Amino acid sequence: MPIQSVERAAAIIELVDAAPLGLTEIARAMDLPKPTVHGLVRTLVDVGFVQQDPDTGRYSVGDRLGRVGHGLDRHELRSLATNWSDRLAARLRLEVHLAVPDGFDALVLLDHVFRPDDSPQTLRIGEHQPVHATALGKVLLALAPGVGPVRALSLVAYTSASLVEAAALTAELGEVRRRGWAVEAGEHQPGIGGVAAPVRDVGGVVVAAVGVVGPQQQLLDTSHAPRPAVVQQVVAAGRAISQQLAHRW
Amino acid sequence: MKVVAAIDQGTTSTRCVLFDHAGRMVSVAQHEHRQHYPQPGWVEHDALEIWRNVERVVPEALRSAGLAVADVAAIGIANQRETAVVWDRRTGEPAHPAITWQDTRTAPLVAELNAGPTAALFEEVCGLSPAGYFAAPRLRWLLDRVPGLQERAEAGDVLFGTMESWLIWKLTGGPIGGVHVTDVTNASRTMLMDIDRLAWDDRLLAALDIPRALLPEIRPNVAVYAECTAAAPGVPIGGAFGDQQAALFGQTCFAEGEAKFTYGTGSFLLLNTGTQRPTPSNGLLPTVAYAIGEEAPTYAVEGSIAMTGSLVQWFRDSLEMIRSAPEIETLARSVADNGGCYIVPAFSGLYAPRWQPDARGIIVGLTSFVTKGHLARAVLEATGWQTAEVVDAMTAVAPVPIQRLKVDGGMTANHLLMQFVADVLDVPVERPLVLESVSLGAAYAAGLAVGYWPDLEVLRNNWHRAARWEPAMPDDLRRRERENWERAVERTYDWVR
Ligand SMILES: Nc1ncnc2c1ncn2[C@@H]1O[C@H](COP(=O)(O)OP(=O)(O)OP(=O)(O)O)[C@@H](O)[C@H]1O
Ligand SMILES: [Mg+2]
Repeated sequence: MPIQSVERAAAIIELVDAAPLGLTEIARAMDLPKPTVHGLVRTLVDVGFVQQDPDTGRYSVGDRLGRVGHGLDRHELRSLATNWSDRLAARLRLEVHLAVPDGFDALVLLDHVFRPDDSPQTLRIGEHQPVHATALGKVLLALAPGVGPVRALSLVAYTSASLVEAAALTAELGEVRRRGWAVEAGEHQPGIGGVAAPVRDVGGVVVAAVGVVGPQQQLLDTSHAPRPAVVQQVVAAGRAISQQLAHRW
Repeated sequence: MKVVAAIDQGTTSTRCVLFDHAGRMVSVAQHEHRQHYPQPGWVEHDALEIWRNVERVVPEALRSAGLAVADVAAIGIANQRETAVVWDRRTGEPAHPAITWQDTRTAPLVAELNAGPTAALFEEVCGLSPAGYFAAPRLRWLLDRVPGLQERAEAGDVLFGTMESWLIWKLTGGPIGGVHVTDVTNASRTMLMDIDRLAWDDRLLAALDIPRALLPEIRPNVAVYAECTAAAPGVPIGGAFGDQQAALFGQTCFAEGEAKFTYGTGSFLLLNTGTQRPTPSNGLLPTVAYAIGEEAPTYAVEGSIAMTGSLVQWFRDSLEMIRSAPEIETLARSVADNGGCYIVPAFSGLYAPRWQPDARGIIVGLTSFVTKGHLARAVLEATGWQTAEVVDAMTAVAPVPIQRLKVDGGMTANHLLMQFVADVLDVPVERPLVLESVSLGAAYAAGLAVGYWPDLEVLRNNWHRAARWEPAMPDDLRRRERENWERAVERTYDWVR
């Protein structure tokens, strides 16, 4: 059953796209009372699909509508994230990764900030990782649309610690959703730990994950729980990047 | 927590960045300002709009860090260089929009100067042969063209400055007690400063008929100028820097032979040449690197490229090929190579090392094969090849060959570009953990001035490598592509008559 207010909202967008119109004109064109139209138009302005010229009072198509259909460009994401990825590496003195989904079962490293100790390191940008074995991957698997489901993945054992049971992985993803961050403990590479948090685009959709990796004993305690300071900084970086994305318009 | 604040007043935007003791970024706030193009080749900024952005970014950066003005130990300023503004000392009203460093309107005036008897004097005293790139011809243009301005200048009613002078004057009270100062690096880009004595030179002022009363006092980069009364009331201004020299300082290139390349609107290579004044050669400019308090100044040679990031912006705004600058990497990665296409962005002539004011931009090698992906590659490669030309010129004068290139600025987030730069230079390229080197340099100056940091050695230990790109291009490909680029550049010469 069609929902009337959605139909009317669509009609308003088309009207003001054809020519900037005042409230009276919109109401007349739609043959609706002005208060009804006003409520619809206000909502459309609030979500950014329609905008009002402060001088003439007329309505036209909002900026946000122009962006519909264009996902966030991944290199724009990297650029916008850089200052915050760098800050995370500086604060924790660990290597930082920024990742986006690559298909339903993998991620690709979009950015890599060296561990700031000036030791020789090699850029890992473009590296693919399975989503079930890294902290970044678990964030995307738990939260990003189009990644998973668990039953579609082949749960390869990279180390003896890899999660290869669907039930165990599913339970852990529930934890990731609840806590808002993920951890890895030698599940991809022996002795390497990681903590990651989501990056959300405007509207809340998870589009990327940001995290740190390093020697397990540096990040995690003996029961594989990450140090609180690490979690706090990683989550803060995820939030800062998300805010940066929201400000890009 | 005490922090140091930097204001980076750039060509396209103004930001405020806060730094902690370890030289780590704490927060940043940024606003773009409008670019005005009243005529081809003219580029202007509204100095008041920029000032309002400064007033906004400082509290915004503090708020996002959860800090108050009292937490700021000092404030440092870095700015787009050579952009000229004249304002009324009583009202604070700019007499004309600021004429930016990209503006070419002074070309006829400069040609006249170069044909006249004083050209050699300029080179001898300020180290620069007259060019439309520098600030003084813009001041001359303003005095000629703004009705009554010459008289007001002679009467002492108006003040001249590059952006840092304008902002410091506004920050310290404007008409009520505002201090009118500039720093040695910005002053070294006017064409009016004796590069040995670091003072305005009366002969050069006379050559351009510029009243001395108009000019700010020249100060070292690291020195407390005054306290702010606006934006961050009570906070001392501990230093100012032209943005490129700020980046050199922020990258801690304190030793002779150390260099950095900053990729922004334009791109600039600066090489520290120590305390000896460098002689101009190979199209590189001698300039002041920094002066700390009353110590002897350190010099640098500079290779300036007018258009790099701004070519990406043109590709975005004028051709509408992409919606954001970084998206150019996505487009460029959609193809394997440039498809035989080369773009030479001589939009306002070519700067270092060729200095061809009459060159104009071209796109060559177009065939039906070429797509917008190839054009995107050509845009990025133009930055790579211009880098190579400047680095080659620099290598000829550097005491030791460049073993690695330290880079910073917004374009270094583009990995395709950074790999290409490493490939065409055939040396590794490294970026520091703080990409905002311009801001960091300004913060370092201010922090040193108030004792927040004790000395340069401490700052040097703050530098950390965040990424490194290794060269991977086969030699014969590099040679072939370089030849194509050079053939393309030759075709831009002498277009303007
Ligand atoms: N990922 C990218 N790829 C290519 N170009 C980019 C990218 N990100 C930014 N740019 C370009 O870099 C410039 C912005 O960099 P940055 O912020 O360092 O310069 P800027 O400080 O604004 O320059 P200025 O100080 O002159 O204003 C813009 O010209 C933009 O087109
Ligand atoms: Mg800049």
